[in-house]
Amino acid sequence: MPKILLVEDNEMNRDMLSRRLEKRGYTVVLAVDGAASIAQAKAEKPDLILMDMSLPVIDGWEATKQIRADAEIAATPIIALTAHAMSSDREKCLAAGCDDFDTKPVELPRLLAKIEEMLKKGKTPPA
Amino acid sequence: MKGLPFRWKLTLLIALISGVTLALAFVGLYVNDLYQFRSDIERRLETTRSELQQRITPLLEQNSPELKGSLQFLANDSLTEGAALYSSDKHLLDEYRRFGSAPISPSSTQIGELLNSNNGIILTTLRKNGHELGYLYLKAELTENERTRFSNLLRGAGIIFVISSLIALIAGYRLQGTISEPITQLVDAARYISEERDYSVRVPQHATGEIGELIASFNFMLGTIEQRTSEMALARENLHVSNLQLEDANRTLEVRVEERTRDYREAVKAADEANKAKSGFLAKMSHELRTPLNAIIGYSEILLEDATDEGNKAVASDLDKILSAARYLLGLINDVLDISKIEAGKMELYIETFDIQKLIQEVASTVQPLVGKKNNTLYLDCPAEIGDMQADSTKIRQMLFNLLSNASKFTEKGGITLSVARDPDGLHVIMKVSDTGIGMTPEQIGKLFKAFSQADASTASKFGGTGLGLAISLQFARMMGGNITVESTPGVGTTFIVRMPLQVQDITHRLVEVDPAKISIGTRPPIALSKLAPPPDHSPCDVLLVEDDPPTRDMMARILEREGWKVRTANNGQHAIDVLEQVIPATVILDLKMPIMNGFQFIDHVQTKAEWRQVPIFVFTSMDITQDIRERLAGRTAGIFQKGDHSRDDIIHHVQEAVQAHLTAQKNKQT
Repeated sequence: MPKILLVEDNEMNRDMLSRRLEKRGYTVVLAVDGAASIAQAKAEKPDLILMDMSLPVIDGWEATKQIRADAEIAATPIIALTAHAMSSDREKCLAAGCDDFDTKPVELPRLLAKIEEMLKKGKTPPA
Repeated sequence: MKGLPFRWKLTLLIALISGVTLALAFVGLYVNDLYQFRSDIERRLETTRSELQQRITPLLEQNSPELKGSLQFLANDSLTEGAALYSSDKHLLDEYRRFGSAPISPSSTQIGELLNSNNGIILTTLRKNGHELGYLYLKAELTENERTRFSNLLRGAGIIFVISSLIALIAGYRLQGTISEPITQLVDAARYISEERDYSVRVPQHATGEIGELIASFNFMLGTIEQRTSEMALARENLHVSNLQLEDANRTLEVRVEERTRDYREAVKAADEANKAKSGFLAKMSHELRTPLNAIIGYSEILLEDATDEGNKAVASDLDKILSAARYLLGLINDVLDISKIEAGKMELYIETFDIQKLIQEVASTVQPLVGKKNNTLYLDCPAEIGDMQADSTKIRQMLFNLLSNASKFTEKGGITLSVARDPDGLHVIMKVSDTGIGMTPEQIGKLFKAFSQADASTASKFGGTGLGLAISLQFARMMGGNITVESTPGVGTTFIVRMPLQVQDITHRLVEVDPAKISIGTRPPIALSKLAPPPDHSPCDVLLVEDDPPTRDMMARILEREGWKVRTANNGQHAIDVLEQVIPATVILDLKMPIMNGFQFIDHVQTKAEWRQVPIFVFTSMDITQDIRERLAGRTAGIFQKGDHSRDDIIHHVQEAVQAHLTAQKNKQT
């Protein structure tokens, strides 16, 4: 089953989203801040990262940049999650290297559609 | 002469006049004297001649030798200077010459010339019976006499001249005291005044006559000038004082203006800061509210999924209500955040090019469930060839969604049309959202786009919504250089017209109130709205619950029913009256803020019937229970409660008592 790294500092949001994703058959690994997300990405090699943008230690934008800079995990698709539904935020996320963008509160069907689309696109069958 | 002082001029003039007068007098005197002297000489000479004639004529006749020496007796005559006697052939016969005198006898050739002379010289032809005997020449001693007389006269005239000159000098000197001195004083005064500009001096008024008048006039003139000068000085002083005051006033004004400006700036700054603080607070609060709300929504969704999976419909229904309430709250928070962003000028535009038809279809599919809720039909009219536009698609979407959800709120079993077309000017796109709903009056339209103001308060209660959607939509439209206008006929429907530029520039936006004058309004009469009356039910009732908010109503009803009471519900005051017409309940639990007929109106209405008046009414409201509300309801309710934790138990307690009392009353009636 695809493995998703969920980076989210809010405990309730993390709990909710992980449970709902697990219920739909995904394997979910967690990180609570930007720094941890890089470490987890390296350790777990997830198929996709759901990245909250306002994070402690280092924020989502910075973490995304660092992941993109690390050859080992640079190819991992990242979907940004942000509470600020502003167009400029979307720009900022894409500029930082995110592949897609969704707003919080999470609308699960929409997010699931995006995840599936991203996995299809990003998971080109290994040669 | 011209440069001389007046005094000397006068003196000289007097001297000159007296000199001339004296000279003239002297000449006259001299001429007169000379004339008399001459005629005297001539007379004496004539006497001497006739004497000589008588003496000599006989001698000549006789040609006596006595002729020689005949003239010598003239030595006794002081007058005669010389004499000569000639014969008829002009031969000198005798000659007399005063001692010391030069020979004077004229030559015989001169005799003819001297005949007519009368200048102290007489030459007489001596005749006897017409016979020429000889010539007698007499010369008076004129010169000596005359010189003596003339020098005497001249001496006298000189003395008189000197004396008169002295008198003239003295007179002139004296005269200047009366004539020249006043003029001199006048001149001195004039010079002093012209040099010193001192108009207070006055010339002493000693003189009389013309000079006196001149001085008086001069003094008068000085007086006038002095008065004018002092008036001018006073005026100048006043002007100076006024100028000083003006300058002072100016300075004060400047200071005041500065102060005011500073105050104003501070006030503006404070207001700005307050506004920023407000916006910041709202943003923070929104975030703080959203976080737990997201949790509520998320966990509700999880539970709802579980409940649906387990087939637990009752729980699923409750969770659905929690979810919809939470989503509504989230929408409200988002709207408030949008408004505060707009007001703070922090709302940004994200301009992109998109296909209009595609966007319209997306909006339609999003809004479809909402439209279907009240059995409305959504019609789309958007030609495929409409093409692209350049704008903030998210905001266009939100605007259309707001207008469509608004239309579906106020329309039942009707049609909602979204039609899109290009403006004939080729620069704008026009999107119309029309409904066949309740419509609006001009007053309602006027308030339409103001934040936190629905068409009227009761509408908000009846149809829900924050009233922020339209205000936000209008602001979005304005931000993109477009506008929203309304056409409405009460009871027929409303059309919102969104006119947007096809190429939106990212312009600085302003919060603008809608101009009611630009809204065109139909004039059909409104249609009554109370079509919500339930079918008649006369079964006994313990509690009539009047509450417009369905979740609260359901929750309350369930709590009351759990206590074993029979509960009837009503959405509003009008509905409650309808119930009262059918059955008298033991008690009424009443919300205040309701559409169509609110709690206050309901209580007023209840007073009209005695049997209704006896029913105890418990007010259960989320409004702040102010003194005003207490006074308005005084004596007409059994209790007023704030919606909250403790009030529920109180209410149950009171309802219990009321129901007991009601039952007792009915029993008493029956027995």
